[in-house]
Amino acid sequence: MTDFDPNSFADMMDDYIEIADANIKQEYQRELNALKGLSENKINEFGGETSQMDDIIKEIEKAKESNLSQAELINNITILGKSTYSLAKKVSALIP
Amino acid sequence: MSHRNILFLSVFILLTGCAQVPQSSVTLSNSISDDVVSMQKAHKSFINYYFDNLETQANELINNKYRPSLIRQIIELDVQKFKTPDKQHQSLFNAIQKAFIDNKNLSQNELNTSQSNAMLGMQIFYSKIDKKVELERKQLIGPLKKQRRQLLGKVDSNYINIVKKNASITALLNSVTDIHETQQSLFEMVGIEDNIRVELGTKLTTFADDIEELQSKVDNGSSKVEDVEAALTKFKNLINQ
Repeated sequence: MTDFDPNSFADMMDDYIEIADANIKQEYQRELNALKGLSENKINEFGGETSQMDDIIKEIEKAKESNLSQAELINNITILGKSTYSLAKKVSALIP
Repeated sequence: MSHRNILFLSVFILLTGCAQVPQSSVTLSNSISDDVVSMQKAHKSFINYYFDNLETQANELINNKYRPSLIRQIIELDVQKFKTPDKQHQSLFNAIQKAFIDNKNLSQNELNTSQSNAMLGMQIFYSKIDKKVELERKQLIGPLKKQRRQLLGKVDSNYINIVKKNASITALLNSVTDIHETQQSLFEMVGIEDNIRVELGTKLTTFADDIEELQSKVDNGSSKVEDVEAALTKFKNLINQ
């Protein structure tokens, strides 16, 4: 009688696995389908969409910059006043 | 400055400078950002909960159903070989029986060889099953991990976009309150009473209500010339202030 050959058995195991795998996947088809997760469409749907009106941000940024420049006016007036005062002090001994 | 220019400037200040933008609107806008971040965390927690649950179920299916079924079916296939006389020598079950149970007629050398081959057969049996089981696990869980990454990435980028947009609005509101502070300082510099901007804003709101009322009278045909004249006088008075 021929002895058991591990190498032939290894090849045979591949065949066994292929057969068994096909049977199991048929048996648990419902469970396996339930574990497929989300489709690409569902991922897009659940992920949301917020790119609408992105362009308007630039306009808002521009308006903000303009507002901040206007808000700086009072500081600029104060700085101008101080500069004028110190300049005047240098050229006139009358100013304390 | 001509009379016309003064009138234009007055109207301009009325329309641009009297809108009520309290500092609390900036605080509210900031708090919206915090709320959005909180919703982002909640949304992501839900996604992670969903995918954790799916991955747990996938692991349970692999460990408790796929692996035991694979072992059982392979043993059954091997037993079929064992029961077929001309293929019996290919069976692992037969090799184990010969090497460890019915081994009395074997020489020491034959015993060593058959035991060594049977052990090698068992090693092949388990390693191939393990490899297949892990491959199936990867094929089942891999797409779930990819979906989780995709969805979290999408959700993150969208929430970041919302926060960014809200930050622009907050900065704009902040800049308007800065302008109002500057206007107030300028009014004080030229000796105009405190809170004139707020006061003018309130009067302008009342005037807007009057215009709305007049419009509805015009719409239903009950307006009189006196009503229009009264509205114009109110507006002139407002400008003159």
